[in-house]
Amino acid sequence: MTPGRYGFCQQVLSARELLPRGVTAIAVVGSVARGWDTPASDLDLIVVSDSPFTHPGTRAQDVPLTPRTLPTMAFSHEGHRWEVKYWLDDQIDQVLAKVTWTAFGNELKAGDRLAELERILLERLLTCIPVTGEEWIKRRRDEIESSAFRSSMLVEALAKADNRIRAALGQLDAGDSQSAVVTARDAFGWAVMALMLDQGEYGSLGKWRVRQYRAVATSLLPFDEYWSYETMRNYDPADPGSWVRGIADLCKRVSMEVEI
Amino acid sequence: MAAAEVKQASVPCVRTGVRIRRVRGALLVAPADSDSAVELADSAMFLFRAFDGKRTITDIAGMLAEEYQISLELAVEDTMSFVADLLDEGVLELGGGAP
Repeated sequence: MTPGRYGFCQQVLSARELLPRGVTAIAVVGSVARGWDTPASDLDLIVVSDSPFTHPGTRAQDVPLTPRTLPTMAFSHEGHRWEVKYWLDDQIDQVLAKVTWTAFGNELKAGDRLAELERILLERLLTCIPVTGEEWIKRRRDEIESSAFRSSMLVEALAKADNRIRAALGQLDAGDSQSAVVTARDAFGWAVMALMLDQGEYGSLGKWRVRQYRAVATSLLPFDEYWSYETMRNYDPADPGSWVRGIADLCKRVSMEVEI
Repeated sequence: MAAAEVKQASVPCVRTGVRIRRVRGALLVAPADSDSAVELADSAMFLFRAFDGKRTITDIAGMLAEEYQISLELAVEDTMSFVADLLDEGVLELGGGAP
């Protein structure tokens, strides 16, 4: 996909008077930008500007930044749902200030983390298709990739995998094998997330994780083995402990191989 | 103190709850409920990766001897000493083979 293919987005937004003054960049994000969209997919966009966007049709989402609002506009165009998030350039500076290496060192003590919308913003900037502002997007990508964003997410994923697998083994020891299996599934998700991050894929536990993992599957967890765990094809109801311990072993191997 | 427990037939296993992180090419290994970590690099990291709860000390020493081109006798001695240290640190436990 090339930026030119989505040049019409700027025209549509302009015609509907849905562009703020001082637009810095417009980008297609989400499943369309990854080439994973289906006919039912929304077209997600971000618009970055120097001036706040005000429009009576926007919905304000709360973000822990100044200003605290993120205007979002949804509408239908030629049978497709569009959703546009309006970020200020200054808000993006603030988000990036939370993932500096200095902040990362402090974060381990303070537990300060990115809000979900901020995390999604950074992930999406890395994989977006620029409509306008290509140079600005390239600069922001460089800033994100040289920041502690990936390491910060990796530390969190490994900690959650550790926490869940420890709980699962405890439940197994206590004879609650059903809870252990469900908890181990959760641990598996976080271990896979860590593997994806190690390969530069900012994965999620959401609907695209299979495609994301397929894109980066490593010898440590080949895709077929991943799929066996994901679908529990290798689970034996007569021996749940074996399945849980298999995931515990995988979590340990992931911890040993992925570099923070 | 744990050295007396370690035999060639022992099967070292990483204890539940031990946290492992790979940082700058080395492994940081911290026992459960402890903030202090042991840093393992080179041959120590090689050995730690071999502790899968199935291999005996003899098996692991054989791998070490092959990897670092040392005698099996020296590899067994080094492996037993390393396992004893990690038992003391609360990172390993012995399973499978008779202690």
